[in-house]
Amino acid sequence: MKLIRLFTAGNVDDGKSTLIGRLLIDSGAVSTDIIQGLTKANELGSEKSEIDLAFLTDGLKAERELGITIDVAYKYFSTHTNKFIIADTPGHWEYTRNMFTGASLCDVAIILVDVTIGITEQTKRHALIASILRVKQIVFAINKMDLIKYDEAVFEEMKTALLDLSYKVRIISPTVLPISALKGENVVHKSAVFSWFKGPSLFDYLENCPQEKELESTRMRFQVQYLIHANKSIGYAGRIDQGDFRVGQALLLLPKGQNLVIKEIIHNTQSVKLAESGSAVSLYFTNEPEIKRGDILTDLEKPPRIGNQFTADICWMSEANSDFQTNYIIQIGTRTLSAKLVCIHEKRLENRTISDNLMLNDIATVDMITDTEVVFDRFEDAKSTGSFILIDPVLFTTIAAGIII
Amino acid sequence: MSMDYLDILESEAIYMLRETAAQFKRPVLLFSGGKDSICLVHLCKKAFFPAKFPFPLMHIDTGHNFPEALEFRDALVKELEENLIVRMVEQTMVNKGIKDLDHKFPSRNAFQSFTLLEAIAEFNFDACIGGARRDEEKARAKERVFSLRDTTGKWNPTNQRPEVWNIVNGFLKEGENMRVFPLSNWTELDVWAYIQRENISLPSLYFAHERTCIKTSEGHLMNVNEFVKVSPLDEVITERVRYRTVGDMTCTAAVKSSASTVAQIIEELKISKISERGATRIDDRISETGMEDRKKEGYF
Ligand SMILES: Nc1nc2c(ncn2[C@@H]2O[C@H](COP(=O)(O)OP(=O)(O)O)[C@@H](O)[C@H]2O)c(=O)[nH]1
Repeated sequence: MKLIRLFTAGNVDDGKSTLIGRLLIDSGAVSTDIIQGLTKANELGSEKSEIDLAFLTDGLKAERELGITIDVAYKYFSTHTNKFIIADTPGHWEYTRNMFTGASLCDVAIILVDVTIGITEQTKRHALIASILRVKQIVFAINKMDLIKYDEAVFEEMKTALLDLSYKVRIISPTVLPISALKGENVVHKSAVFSWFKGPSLFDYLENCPQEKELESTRMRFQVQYLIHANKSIGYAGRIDQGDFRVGQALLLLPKGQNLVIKEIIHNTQSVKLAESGSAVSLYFTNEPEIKRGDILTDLEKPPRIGNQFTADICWMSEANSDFQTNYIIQIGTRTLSAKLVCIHEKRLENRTISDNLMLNDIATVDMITDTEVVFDRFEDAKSTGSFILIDPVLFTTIAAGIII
Repeated sequence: MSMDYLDILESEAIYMLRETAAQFKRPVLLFSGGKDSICLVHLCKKAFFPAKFPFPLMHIDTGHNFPEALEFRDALVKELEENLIVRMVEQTMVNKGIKDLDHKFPSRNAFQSFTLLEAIAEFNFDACIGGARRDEEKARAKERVFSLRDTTGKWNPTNQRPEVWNIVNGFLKEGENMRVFPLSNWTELDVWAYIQRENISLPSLYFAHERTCIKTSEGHLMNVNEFVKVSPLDEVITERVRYRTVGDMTCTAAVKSSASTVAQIIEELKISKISERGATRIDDRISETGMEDRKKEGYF
């Protein structure tokens, strides 16, 4: 069975919660007592008698009162072939950071567009985020088709506009589907109202998605997480970020620059000859080198870069604006060090003016400088050594997330 | 080659356990004797093999636990040769002068958070690892894997740290505390599939057995025991039942079942249409936002 992570995006009221509710109910993932609970919760506030599919995902009380999705809510459902994790991310502009968070690990982005409204600033923003995060599969679901009588011409017109937008934000070959989340047309089941549409239903599309695998790259990456001391030897524990690791293989230890050969690999209490990308293992070496948490083991041919400066696309997540003085804590995978912003090149959104600081929900290209040399990759080459968060040095809150370009 | 979904969930959980061991000074694993915490223990064996766990286990014992669960707990800890701390809710109640609720099914869940917070202070724990899953409840669905508790032990759902990729921020200010949920992305069915694959043993309560129960007006099957007041009007029946969660004897309901193996339980779950909490926790049903209120108060 595959594991597929997806997120839903779109403007407020484009129908994200309704769509997820529809996917969960029509695929049989929701228990009957929860469906009854939904009907009960509804009677309190609204007049509507049919169950409000959106209630399934809008969980927190504060959200209930405001009637909007504030934080990322994770939902799960399985079919015979796949386990799906849905990150239901908030649509409002104010919650761009939550959206970025929910989208960060996903294989698939579903961006909803209300056919009666068309492309909005939020559509552009969400498409840009999906593109920056290198989400492999992007689907635009044109929703509320029932309101325009399932008209093919309107769909085609909007599809053209979306392909145009995709080109601008560098999304390669997105999928565009017509749906009605409310009526359940073309969500789980293909339907007669879309007889003119030759593509799959959204659900069929998801069922056939490939699971996120290592990037098509020969690069091997392993970040040391934790040292296991036992039986007079030390195991270097971590999760293989990418590449297949074999006993006897030569590796490069960075930042030291030392060559090492794997003596043993322990995976789940067993000694194994080969461990594939994604596995949590511990590695053993002959004549134990000095290795600490945060060190990186890589292949010899395409090692990461080492330096104290890099350029990144970042999403600012704090109410407090950025500045050029603060020494932020930067966490790249398992390493933490100190870093400053040195230059803001361009804001990547609607207001493309360059300014002196970043504000909440800004997405921008910036230059960063770290206090000591750090090992890093371009995000394209290796996600885990190419991404980072910034932490407020006093409050310890997470204030930004970035991608090295 | 591509990993199976259980391999991915396992690897993610181990990653989080190791991050916890690396980022905190005094973590603790909250062990309830239930299937989720038993899975966590199993994952710890893998995460730190061949070493012992780099943290103790702790059980906040309400005094209303099923004897089968306690026996299992003690046997497991003995087998692993790990360190178990037990703190009794009763002790907190004596100290604070709290009496049991005057209920037919007197739950002590509400007092559990006091004892937990006291124990955290006593041992200076900075991170508590728990087996909660996001599929359990709507409020949980939004909770981070590394979930911050403020100086009073409360969760603030409107101000959570963004958790981007797998980078977890474990920095704490004085008095703050972290809850860590490595099984966040597992569902009830995933847990059972994992138990089956890994051949993990569980307390006998999880499998079908004969039990004398009160059948409540809502149809819940409540175990008859010394804490529950049986009245002549109660419908008392003996049924083949099993438990889907193992909490307090007073407020955890059994479900009618003939499933006596893990495989049979998985079959039953696949066709069952009632959620785990809905089926077995009578205290959460009180209000729609029951869980969120309790979490804000410091409940695990
Ligand atoms: N007519 C129609 N209404 C829809 C459809 N999908 C959602 N809606 C309605 O649009 C409103 C907003 O939906 P909701 O799911 O809450 O949007 P969200 O803010 O994106 O989560 C609700 O009143 C829905 O009933 C659709 O396919 N057709």
